[in-house]
Amino acid sequence: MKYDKQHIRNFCIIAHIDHGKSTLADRILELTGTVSKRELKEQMLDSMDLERERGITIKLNAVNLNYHAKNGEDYLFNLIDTPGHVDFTYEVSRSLAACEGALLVVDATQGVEAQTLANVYLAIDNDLEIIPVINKVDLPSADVDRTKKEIEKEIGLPCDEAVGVSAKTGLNVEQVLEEIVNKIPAPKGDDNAPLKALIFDSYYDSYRGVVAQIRIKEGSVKVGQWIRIMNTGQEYLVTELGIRSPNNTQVEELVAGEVGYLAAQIRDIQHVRPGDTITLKDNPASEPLPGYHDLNPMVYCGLYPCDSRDYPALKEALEKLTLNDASLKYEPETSQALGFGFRCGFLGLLHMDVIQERLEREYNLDLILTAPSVIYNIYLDNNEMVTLDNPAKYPNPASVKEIQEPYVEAKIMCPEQYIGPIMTLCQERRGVYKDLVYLDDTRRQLVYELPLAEIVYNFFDKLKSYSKGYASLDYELIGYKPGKLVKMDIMLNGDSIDALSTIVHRDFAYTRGNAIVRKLKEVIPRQQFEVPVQAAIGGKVIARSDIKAVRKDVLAKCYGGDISRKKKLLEKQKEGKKRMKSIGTVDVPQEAFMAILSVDEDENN
Amino acid sequence: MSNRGLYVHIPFCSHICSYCDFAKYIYDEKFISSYLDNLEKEILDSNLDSFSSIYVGGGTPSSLSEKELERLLTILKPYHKENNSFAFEANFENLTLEKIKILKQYGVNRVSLGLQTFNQDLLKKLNRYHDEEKIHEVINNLINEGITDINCDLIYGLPGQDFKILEEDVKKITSLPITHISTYALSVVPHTMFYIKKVEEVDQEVYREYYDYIVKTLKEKGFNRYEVSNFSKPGYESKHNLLYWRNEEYLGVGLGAASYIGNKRYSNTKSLTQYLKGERVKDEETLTKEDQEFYFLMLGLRLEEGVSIDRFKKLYNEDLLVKYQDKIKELEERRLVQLKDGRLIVTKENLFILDYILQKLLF
Repeated sequence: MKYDKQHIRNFCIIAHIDHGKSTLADRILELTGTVSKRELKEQMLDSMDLERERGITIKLNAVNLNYHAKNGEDYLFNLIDTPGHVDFTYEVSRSLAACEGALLVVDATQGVEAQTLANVYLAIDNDLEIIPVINKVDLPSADVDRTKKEIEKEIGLPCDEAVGVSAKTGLNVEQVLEEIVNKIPAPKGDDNAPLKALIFDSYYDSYRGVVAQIRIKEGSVKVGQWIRIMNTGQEYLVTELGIRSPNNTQVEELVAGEVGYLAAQIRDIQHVRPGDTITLKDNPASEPLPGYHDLNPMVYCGLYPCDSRDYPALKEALEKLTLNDASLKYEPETSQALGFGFRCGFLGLLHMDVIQERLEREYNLDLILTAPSVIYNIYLDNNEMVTLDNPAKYPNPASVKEIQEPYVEAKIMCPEQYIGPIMTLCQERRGVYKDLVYLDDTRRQLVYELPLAEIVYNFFDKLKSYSKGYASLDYELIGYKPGKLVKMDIMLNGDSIDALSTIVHRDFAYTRGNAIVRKLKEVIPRQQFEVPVQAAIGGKVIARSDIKAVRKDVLAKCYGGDISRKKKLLEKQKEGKKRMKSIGTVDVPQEAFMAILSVDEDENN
Repeated sequence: MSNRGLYVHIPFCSHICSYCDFAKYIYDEKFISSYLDNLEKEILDSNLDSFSSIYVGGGTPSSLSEKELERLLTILKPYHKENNSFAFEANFENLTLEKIKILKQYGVNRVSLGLQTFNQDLLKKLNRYHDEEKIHEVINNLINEGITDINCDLIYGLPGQDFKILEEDVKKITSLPITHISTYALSVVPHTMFYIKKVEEVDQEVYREYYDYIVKTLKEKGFNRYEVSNFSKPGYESKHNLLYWRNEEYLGVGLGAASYIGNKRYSNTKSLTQYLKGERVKDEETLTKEDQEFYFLMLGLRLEEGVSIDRFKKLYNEDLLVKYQDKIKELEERRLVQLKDGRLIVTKENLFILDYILQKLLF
């Protein structure tokens, strides 16, 4: 059935992890009869296992729902889910741009959490109508009044009429649906204007090619029309249009205000980027929708199979993943220590994590990742500039005139009591203070310029621990600046291991070198003989630690009853060994290559 | 036919030792008779009647009363053949002269005693109650009654046991008129009092120092190491335990006991109620040829004699040296193993890192 604009509501749900976004979405799906209870897997919208496990949404999913409202009329709801992490801020902003309203879900037992704020502000920036929903009111520890006050105070959103719900039991969820009808504006847009459709997500389907999820802002599109993707300039013939409810249902036409999908036998996902605008080849729009920009990898790391025979499988897996993920970049590289692998570029650390886990789970690969690196610009004596995404490839230091590294402007929001420790953290990370904004009585926003490399180096974890989880981080690349940077080598048994090389700031080299060799000593198991681990700059050793020799490794008692158990134990160790790489006679576990990320310099003091 | 052992588990104890994670229950008269009936039935149900050795372990078999002991030995008697090894585990505190006489009467020819340490403070920590006088008394009684093949267990790496105490223990244990010593590095494992009290194991460096000292000193006193933790006067190796390490068959009956028959390994329940209801087997593992080979190497390399390449070939129709060619070559170069007289052997000084070597060899 076809709905006029007055009966369409496009909205998303903003919530902190665990505050019940997916559960609420599930209840809405159920109440609107979109999915029966029987087929409702827990948290239907988060379709990747990984997302379900971590309680975060990485890939956006949109779903169309029919709702018969109390006023007797039928409405079409387009629920657009959003991811919730700094790596994906751009994707969030594009999906918000596809909506007129947002449900802000706050856990009545937890109150407003910092991370929620960043997305609320994005929503406000996009002029969305925000409806507060207080969740988990059925729990004994729920404090609805306090939560309402917090929302009013921290976000400035009136909460007199805020609905208190239990997404788990379904209590008052229907009232939320009524609020969506009554408060979220119907979409605007002229059906007869030239087509402007916002792409907010895309995925690859082996039968239909790349499928774009779109929101029609202006005009209309029909099957059989030629379209143009405005920023990339590609043109395609539309083969299929449809909506998701939540499985795909084909339609002949999508018009202004509607949310749906579009397929056009597009082979390359690079051509269908989030934020881009689709128009018609004939009668095109004069300009694209605002807000589009290219997503470029911010961090790179080496990806190697533990078992070198898995190289072709890894290659194939990466090929498949890039079909669906335009922001993942990779190219072959070789390491002396690790053999054949790939240098891969990611939007950020979470993105890297997600890709790693998908490769390991969905493609059953055992991988070694090297520590992530940013891209350095190196100016040589002959004034030539080379970019460096792999510290192992650092040119001869004698020929380097200057090395520049990427800087970001980082905005950190946090309650005022954490300002002190967070400023200390930023200073330790070579940050340059820019601003301190008073958001309200208790909330502050710190603005710092920071080298991206410092953010990659477990900054986020530190930030969380310094602020008891309350601080949120958002950053944007602002350009390159020169720095006193040097390449630090790590040597095992006297041999330099290329995959462990990093670029460090000269002033921090000693502390960091020390922290790394200690960490390596911790994660590399004891070996037959003592093995020195050294950090060196230009051949000069600056830190050393020794991996001890194994002295006792035997089961003292091994009689009848112990035997099967012993075999199981050994087999468990075998699993661990599969994730080790033998370098010379030293068995180096996977996590050693990431050691740099988890070192704690404080331990040394 | 090859050897097959019979292991009989008596799970009852008068005290529970702080480090013990075997199937064990505080001695309670009301369970014993039914337990012994079940043991008898379990042996009968196995349809096996020929055993090359019998080993009664625990728990504390000597916690049984004289009457109960007679009943147990009456059950086992038909399976014991003269000249075969018939071993019995006991604690000093309840192995009375009367019980010794019963053991002798029924053909028991080897007794293994939980000595652990001579140090009174440490014994208290272990929840064991015997003293030097008692040790000498029991051993004298055994010898007087004609049971001269005697093992004593020694434990090292106990909390509070420094090198001096160990030296003292080793000195005293080696001057006893016994034929066999088992020495165990303390391992703190779940379901033990030490584990609950969060007792920490000593550093592996310390364990190694103690172990090397023990190996050296026992050898000087005539006790040769033949397995990681076992030392004996020549000819007094534990026949029954050798079965395990030589990957030979055994039937284990009683609570928590394990069996290895044909291509199957079984282990019994550790729940007394279940066992008494006749629900005995808890786990069963059917072994592939690969599993068999794995066990063969894992167990055989615990022995100073190592494993026989011929026997491997006979059993599995495969050449050990070919199958593990690269691994053996690497381990040989690193002096972790050696090939000698048709056997693969872990080098003497590396037996204490056997598991490290096994991982290299087997994976």
